[in-house]
Amino acid sequence: MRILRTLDFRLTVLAVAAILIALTLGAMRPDVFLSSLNISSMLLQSSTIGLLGLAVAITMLSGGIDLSVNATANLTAIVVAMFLTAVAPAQGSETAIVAVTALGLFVGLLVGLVCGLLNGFLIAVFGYSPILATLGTMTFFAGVGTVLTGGATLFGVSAFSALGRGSLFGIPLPAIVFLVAALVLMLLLEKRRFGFTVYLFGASESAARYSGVSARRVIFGVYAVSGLLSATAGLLNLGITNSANVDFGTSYVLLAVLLAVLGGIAPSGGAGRIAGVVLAAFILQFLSTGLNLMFQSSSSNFLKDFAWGATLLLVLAIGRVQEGSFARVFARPREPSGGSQLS
Amino acid sequence: MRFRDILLRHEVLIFLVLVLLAVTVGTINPVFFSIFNIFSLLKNSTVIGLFAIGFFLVLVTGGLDVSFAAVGVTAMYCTVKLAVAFFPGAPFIVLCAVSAVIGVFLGLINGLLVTKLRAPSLIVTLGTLSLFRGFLLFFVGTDVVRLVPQSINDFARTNVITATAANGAHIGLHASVVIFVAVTAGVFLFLRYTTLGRSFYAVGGNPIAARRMGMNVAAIEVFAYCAAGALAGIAGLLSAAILRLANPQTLVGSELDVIAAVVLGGAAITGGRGSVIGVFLGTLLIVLTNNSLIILGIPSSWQKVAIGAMLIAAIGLPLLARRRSLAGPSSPSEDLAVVTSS
Amino acid sequence: MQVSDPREGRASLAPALLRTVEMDKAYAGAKALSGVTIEVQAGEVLALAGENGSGKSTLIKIIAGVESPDAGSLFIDGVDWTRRSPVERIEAGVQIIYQDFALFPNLSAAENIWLPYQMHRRRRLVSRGDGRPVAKRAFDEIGGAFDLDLPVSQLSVSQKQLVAIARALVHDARLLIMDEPTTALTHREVQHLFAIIRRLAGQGISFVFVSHKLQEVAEICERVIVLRNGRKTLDRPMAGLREAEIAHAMTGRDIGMERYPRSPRLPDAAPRLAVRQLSHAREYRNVSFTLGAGEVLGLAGLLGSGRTAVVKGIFGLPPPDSGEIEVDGRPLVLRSVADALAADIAYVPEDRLTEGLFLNFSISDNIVVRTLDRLMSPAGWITASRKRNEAKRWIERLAIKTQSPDLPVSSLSGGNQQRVVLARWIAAHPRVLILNRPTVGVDVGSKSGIHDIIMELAAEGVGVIVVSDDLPELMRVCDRILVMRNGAVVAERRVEASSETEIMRIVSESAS
Repeated sequence: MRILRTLDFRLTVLAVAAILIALTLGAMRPDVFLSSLNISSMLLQSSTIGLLGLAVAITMLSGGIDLSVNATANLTAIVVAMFLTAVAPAQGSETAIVAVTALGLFVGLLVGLVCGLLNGFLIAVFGYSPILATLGTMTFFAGVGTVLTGGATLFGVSAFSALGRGSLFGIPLPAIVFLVAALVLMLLLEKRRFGFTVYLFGASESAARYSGVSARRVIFGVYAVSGLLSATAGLLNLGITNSANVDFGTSYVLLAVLLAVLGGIAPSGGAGRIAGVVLAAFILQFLSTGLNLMFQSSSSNFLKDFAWGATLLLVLAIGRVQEGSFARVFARPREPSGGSQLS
Repeated sequence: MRFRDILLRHEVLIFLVLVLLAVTVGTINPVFFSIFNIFSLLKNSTVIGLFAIGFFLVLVTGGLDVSFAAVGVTAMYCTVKLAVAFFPGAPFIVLCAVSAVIGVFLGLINGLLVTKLRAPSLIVTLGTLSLFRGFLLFFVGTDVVRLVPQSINDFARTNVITATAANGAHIGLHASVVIFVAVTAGVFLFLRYTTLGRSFYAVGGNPIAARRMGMNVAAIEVFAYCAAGALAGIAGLLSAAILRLANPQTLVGSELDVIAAVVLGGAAITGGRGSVIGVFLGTLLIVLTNNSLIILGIPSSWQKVAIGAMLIAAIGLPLLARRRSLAGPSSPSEDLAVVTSS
Repeated sequence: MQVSDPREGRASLAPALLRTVEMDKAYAGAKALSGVTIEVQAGEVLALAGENGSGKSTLIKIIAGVESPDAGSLFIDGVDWTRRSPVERIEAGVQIIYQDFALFPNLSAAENIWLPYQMHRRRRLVSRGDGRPVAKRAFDEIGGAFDLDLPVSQLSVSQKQLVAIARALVHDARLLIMDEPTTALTHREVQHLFAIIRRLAGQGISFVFVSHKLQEVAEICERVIVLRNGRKTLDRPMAGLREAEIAHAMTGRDIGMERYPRSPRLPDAAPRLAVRQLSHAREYRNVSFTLGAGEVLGLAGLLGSGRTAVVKGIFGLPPPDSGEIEVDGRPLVLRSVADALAADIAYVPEDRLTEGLFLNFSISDNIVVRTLDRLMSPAGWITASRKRNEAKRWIERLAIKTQSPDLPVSSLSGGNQQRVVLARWIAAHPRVLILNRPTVGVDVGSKSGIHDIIMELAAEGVGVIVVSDDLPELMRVCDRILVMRNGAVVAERRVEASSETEIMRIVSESAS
């Protein structure tokens, strides 16, 4: 739907790549790779970073970027951890526990929303460039988190972590959250008016304004959603690891950008599909697990860093090649308008 | 130029803020004004400052290089490892040169990728950041080298000025400060008095016009990335020298201070504007802020908040100023109309 | 009409400074230039005129070396320079001064002047001591009178132009091509510029003045070359040439350009649009007019007259500072584009490539932008099938030639692209439709088709405003034409009671 065969092409390539990699790894180490424990673990691990990737993806689609996703996630986890510790009774009726947990979730999403709206405000109302605005808020949120925790690690509450460890039909709850979020985002972007305006705005801000698209609505909307997604990632993290601290996921911003770009989101905005980001999350997870299996040492993390950097650059290069061949097919000279304008 | 114009120049404003902050903190806690503290401040500025100047050079041409810390630590660690293995007796200047060369090589990779891939430099350098760091930690090693070459140990103890405190302790202004000041001066001269230096600004200001005037825009950009790489290499080595050990897991993660220093110093994120003096002052401001928090007894956990808030404010001020100078309602659509009406 | 003195003592046997021979150039199958041969002598001031799409931009780009011709050659001083780069041409003394001047906004005026010069001289070290005197000399030569150390971003348009000229002079330019140089200049600044040009021409520097402002062209140029549809249609000295002849060479007489029959309009209760005393600082003052239902109102005037600013103001981009607007008798409070849209005012921008189209999006997506609300299911979902059906309706109605509505809009020709933008706005059933230069870069056949669409809309009762430089077009479709100059409406004529010549005369009268 959106734009060109290139992107459906991209989705097909990603899907094929995901299947191939999974099959290869499955063939190499069926005992480990295909075990339900591993599958469950992979789904679990890809959910937090997947949500951050979705957050970066939607902001990138609008022609901007949100570098504060990880900081927002951590801040959310910290605030909710503090809240739960303060409010949760040590022993309580089941309804009390459920109520407190629900309240905790609500508080977390609220934190994310506030963070996102702050970003939106700086960008839409004050005219900050998205890079600088989110760079500043990234530091600021991390700072607030540091002050709140004093640098220490906070711990969650057992009831909450039940969510992190829970599963539905054998699929870990966090993975379900990720997939549901991705589905909601897909519907929002491709089937609702707001999503359409996001793509328009990202493709050409001036044409969008002339077509009556409200820049403020798009920007506030996109960064608010990003904040909510980041908060969800933070909540999942709290549930899974049962801890919250400021330094978690230092390389996550890069990974989130990688997911978005690998998934086919154009860095300049206006093109790309969420389904691609989901596939990219799986691919990266397979590669990560594969690397772990092959190297089985603590330093495999560093190899991953290398791999992610190389993958991002490779994907950009492939994108450039596609763009180049496409541009040649559809080249039109820039026609003069108004007075003769030489460009 | 009128007095008001001079006053409103960004560098002057930063300088005034710097002075104001110093005076305020010093009044609250006179320890601030001690020679020891001032020398210590300057010493703490060198690594951030050198990284900042490198970042600034790329920024002027319109690019964004966030991989500088990874470049710095990779260059530093490789240099130390090589030196320990092959030339432990080498003088410090040689080690600096080796680190700079490795930095240039990594910067060249950055430059070529940015110009060839034609993707936003932020994203490309996010990729190379990961690439370099991963390469370093996986293929080169993760162990901290404590037995560093003698010249590094010597350098760590080299002070250019020494003074004796009241209690007889020796206090010195570290030699790395000289390097920082020298580089600042050198880059200042380069950007002001060489054709290539002025072309940096031209490319950042209007790359299309630059191409029409016959400038080789791609070559200029690659050169900027290489220069940034060299400075990052030197900064990395200095950071190891100051601590007398080489830890490959440092530096990456503290990029914010550097970027904040450059933005506070008045450089535009879009390129073409700013001065190395501003970067120098911005660096001092960042270090001063962190230092002040310590002196005032504020927990260090507030550092990030302070820097973040300052960054947000510093970006906002020029935007506000520009708004006020435009006649009429200040909404982005107005800017659009002004730009596109014939 | 002033005529410059013919040059005395010019060696008629010396090779011309610049000569193009049988230039051909095509873009994506459409011929931009066909067999164009021109000559420029030293010290000559030449006008290159033509409508938009006539090929004059292409010709200049080829002369400057920015584009290379498909066929033909270019000689400078009798030497074949067809294959040389733009930088080499600058060194040979042939330079363009672009409409946007190609200056560095962040550098000072002085630096803009001497930096390229120092670069070309391969100087590594730049000392202000060296550069500034050179800049100052060039600057004084053209009579510049402002602070050279100001950053260019702070200069006015006419000051920037002086900087661009000084920069060219410093390179020992012998032929300066000036692209629409008087667009944003006041009358006094134009005279100042002309004085400079005359002085420099006297020193042997040649000028090619690209413009479609006939009156100015006549004032400064000795010879006129006119292009139309890529061919040279006129090449004569200015002496004895009448404006009407130039206009005829520029526009030609196309088949089927008669006026549309106008049906008598019903008396209406309230005009579709009534504006009173609209003003916006620096751009327009006290503009008032009415537009009836089914009426087509033309807005003519030179570039810089404020027409575009006024119509954009009615659309809310940005709203006027003062004045009143009424749509169908109801007052409109205009704070932003959203208010204009709510009042069913539509605006089709002049630059469809950057302001109108989402090039990588499908034709279908481009068309439905304004009608999404109608396409949503009750729950608010947009379905692809609804989009496609809506798009197909408009593709048929506006005769957009394409194999599929899912193709990217970048695959269409200029005329069809314009129809897509029109479709988008017409689909929203506007009460007032504003078209800003709707047929620029559109071939003759498509142009006629777009005019048909305008007439159909008028017949349905839509109030249409057409801003255009194409007087025959305005004469053809409009009921009335307003002429603007320097931000004010200076004349209004009913088309049936007037003539093209009269309106052209009003348009090109220079302000006293």
